[in-house]
Amino acid sequence: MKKLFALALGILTAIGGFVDIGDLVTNALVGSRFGLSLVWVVAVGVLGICVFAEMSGRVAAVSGRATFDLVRERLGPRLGLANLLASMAVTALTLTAEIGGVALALELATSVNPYLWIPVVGAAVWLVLWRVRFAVLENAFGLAGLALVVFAVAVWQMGPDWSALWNDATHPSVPGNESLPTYLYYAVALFGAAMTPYEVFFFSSGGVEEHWTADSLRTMRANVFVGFPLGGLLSVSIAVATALVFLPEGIQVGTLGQVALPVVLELGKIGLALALLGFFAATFGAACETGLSVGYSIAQYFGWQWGKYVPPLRAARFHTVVLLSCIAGVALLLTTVDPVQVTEYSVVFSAIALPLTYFPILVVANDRTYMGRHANGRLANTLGTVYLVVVIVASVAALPLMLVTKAGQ
Amino acid sequence: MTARSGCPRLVRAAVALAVVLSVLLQTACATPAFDRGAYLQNAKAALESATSEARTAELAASARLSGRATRAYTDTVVTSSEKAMGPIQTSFGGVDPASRQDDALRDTVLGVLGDTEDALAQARIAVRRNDRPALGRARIELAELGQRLQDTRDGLP
Repeated sequence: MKKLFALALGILTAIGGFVDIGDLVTNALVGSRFGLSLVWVVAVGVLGICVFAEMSGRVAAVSGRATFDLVRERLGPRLGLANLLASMAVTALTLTAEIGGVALALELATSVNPYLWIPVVGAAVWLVLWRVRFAVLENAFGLAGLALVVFAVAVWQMGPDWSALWNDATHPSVPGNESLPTYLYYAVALFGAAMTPYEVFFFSSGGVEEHWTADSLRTMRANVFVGFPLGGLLSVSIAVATALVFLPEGIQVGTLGQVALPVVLELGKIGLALALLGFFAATFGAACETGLSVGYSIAQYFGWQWGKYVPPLRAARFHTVVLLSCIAGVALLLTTVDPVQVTEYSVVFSAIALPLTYFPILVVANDRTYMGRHANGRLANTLGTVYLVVVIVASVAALPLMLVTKAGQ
Repeated sequence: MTARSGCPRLVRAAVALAVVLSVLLQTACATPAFDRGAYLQNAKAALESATSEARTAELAASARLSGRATRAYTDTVVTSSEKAMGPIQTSFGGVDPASRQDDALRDTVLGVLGDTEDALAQARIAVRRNDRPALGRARIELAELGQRLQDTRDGLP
């Protein structure tokens, strides 16, 4: 019974914790401009993150060390440093976007200017990372993030023509008023949002924090292969909601307030309250995950003591990095940069950094020195290799597409 | 290869990359080639963005009037739409028309953009004062302006 409860809790937190500010904004924006013609990208991205999260989780469970703890040892300091710099830059930018997302969610609830909330949010994130236990942090925000199911309920309530929706999703085409480069730019952005590098940093380091062993593999795989796809469905429901309400009106999503509007129109104040709770939990939870991920990656590269499973005094440098990353995120946002724009750029830069994040995972998961009989099998290697090609293509295409389309305008 | 011979090569590669990136970024930031087609494209983009803002605010106002949205939420959404109008007007108004024949187009587009901003300001004030009749009037005006913006855009060649 206890095992079943742990399994259910793990799956539920994986669903609720899947969506972050990048998924919220990008899916809503894409739904409002392209309808369901880019849903296939979410499906491809979710399968990709499942493949690599399973690998990194397996590495953590079998070796007792986080994947990126092994990268420098296995691939050498140079490649390790390239991996660290690329992933770190993107993760720090994502942390900034998440802190901004929390502030925007609070603005929607209070109408207080988000720039007044930003320092408060930054301090709260740091305080939670400093004081709250890892399991509490993961479960509380993951479960609260399930409130985003309200988008699926709103879609159901709208009573759409399901066969038309299915047809749109399965017969992707570029809408008449959009160009092919813009379509491809948002495909890359959506892919980057689904496969954000910090998710695997956090997943593998979290496995070490929770003392996974080879016996945990079944639970870990259930979390990944059931929780993540259901989390992906939440993302899709956001895109469907905005496609149904905004596409016929010619409305393009550019703010978090617009993301919630289909739910408000359909379900009223209760829907709004749940949507705001979901926004808050998704962004605050992701801010904690990205803040920890910055600390994890730097501490693991330099071989420092890291993690929340040891007292803060024993991992002082790790906690200092976490604190500094929160301060840097707040400082960047206080330049009055638009958090939604930061989010849009962060998902595209995620796509650029993907190969440097995922290539080392594939290498380490194949190394029998660490993995023994749990090294990648044929299926994992085939999928991993195919996805490596896909992430390289997305990475190479991201910057030219950004320039050609003026960031998707 | 020694570290000594590797370093200058690395520096050269970094400089080359920086130059390429800087050229690409400058190309992307520069004003597009200026002709009637580009001016029309600019007008269409401004009208589409303004339509989006007007209709967003109209939906938010409708939700508030039917008791489906809180004041704080409606205020935030309407204020965001109003704030978005500034850059839209600047991006269109800051570019000179390609020729005299485009002066009328400029006046029409700037006129409807200005009207939209005014209506959004009225909606914002009504929401903050919790003045339901005024919000109702602003909603109707926003609906009309949304249609006007759409018609103007559709009327462009």
